[in-house]
Amino acid sequence: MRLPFGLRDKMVLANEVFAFAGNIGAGIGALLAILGISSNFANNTSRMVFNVEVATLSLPVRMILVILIAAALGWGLGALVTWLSRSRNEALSFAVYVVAILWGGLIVGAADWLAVAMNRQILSETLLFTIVGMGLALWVAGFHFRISNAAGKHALRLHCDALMLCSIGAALFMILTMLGAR
Amino acid sequence: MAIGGPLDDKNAARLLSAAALFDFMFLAFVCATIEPVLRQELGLLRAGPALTAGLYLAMVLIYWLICEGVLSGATLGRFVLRLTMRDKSGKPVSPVRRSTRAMKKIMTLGLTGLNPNTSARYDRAAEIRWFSPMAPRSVTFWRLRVQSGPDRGKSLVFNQVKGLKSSRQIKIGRDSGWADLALTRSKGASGKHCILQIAKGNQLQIRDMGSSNGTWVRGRQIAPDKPVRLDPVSQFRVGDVWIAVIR
Repeated sequence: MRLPFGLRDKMVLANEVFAFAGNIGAGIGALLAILGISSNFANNTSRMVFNVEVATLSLPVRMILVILIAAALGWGLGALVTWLSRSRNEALSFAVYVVAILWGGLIVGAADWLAVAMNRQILSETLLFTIVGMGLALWVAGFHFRISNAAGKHALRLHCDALMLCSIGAALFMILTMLGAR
Repeated sequence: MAIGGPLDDKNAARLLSAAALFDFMFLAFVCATIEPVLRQELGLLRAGPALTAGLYLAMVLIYWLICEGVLSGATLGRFVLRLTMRDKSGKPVSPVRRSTRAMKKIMTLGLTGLNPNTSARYDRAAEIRWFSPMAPRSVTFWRLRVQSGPDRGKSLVFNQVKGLKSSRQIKIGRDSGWADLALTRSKGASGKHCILQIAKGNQLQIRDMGSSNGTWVRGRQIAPDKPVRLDPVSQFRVGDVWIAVIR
């Protein structure tokens, strides 16, 4: 029996659906991360979202939240940078650098939001969550770059720059967070 | 794990910098975890930030020795970014080359590796290339794999073809003296069956050599001696033998 459309079309469709779901997840992740940062700035002790005090949740639950948010952020970074790197507009290419640094900040923000207050930490949760989040976000972003098939020297350079700047952003925000907690 | 393609110096340097930053953050976590225990056990509760700095430096040194000496250059950061160290031909790095790299790295204290604009001197000296799945796979690392028939499972990496750089073609047939991919057991294939050509922009073309059972692309038999573009499909049929191009 001849299929109504070829395997290639089906794969393209599956990829589009996958990307759409990923982008929705990335949006939610970014929102949660921004919420985390803003709630930290607004009130450094409450850290309450949807009437749930995050610090009261157990470590494994918070770790799962970190993983979910980091995966979404990584996918979001991948999608955004891929989209920006396809543009020939120089200004949009420059936006890749800003986005990457901001994304590093979002990862640290999400980690700091989900960790208990630094002076009450036995295990350095902020660092642990940042490392887990960073690792996953970088891996997922790299995976997105790979499947986006954006061959070309310019795109590859921007992808590498984005990953490097995301790490720099995370390291900078991490230092600022730790200094701020002292 | 797919190693992907080779990175140029700048891209490799950028990804290695990202990996190094990740490793430094990981070490900060390890340091922050063991520091209070050490302070308590050694009775150094009043020791200043010098202890933290000393401990961190010691951790960096131990981590570096473990990664370079025991784990053959693999670090957590490189694992996350899926960076693989290879030689120029894409083969795993030999122990001699690895030792050369380690020696050169010790001599420069690894400092030249911190420049995100160019590859480290020790990598250049040891002729190391970094591979990433993000980088497009070089055509020399593509391969042909026989999918059906008695020769099923046979494969040929493009860089194994003698004189590929100049000829830009791969010969397929039953005659092992002529063919690069010899289908010696497949009776449906002719002695000199077809030629796969690498055209401009690494586009693949296939040319039938007037075989008895024909060459088939997209379900159609192609005319003899007339190159037909193979992309974007990755499979073609040589007589009754399916062959896949793995990019």
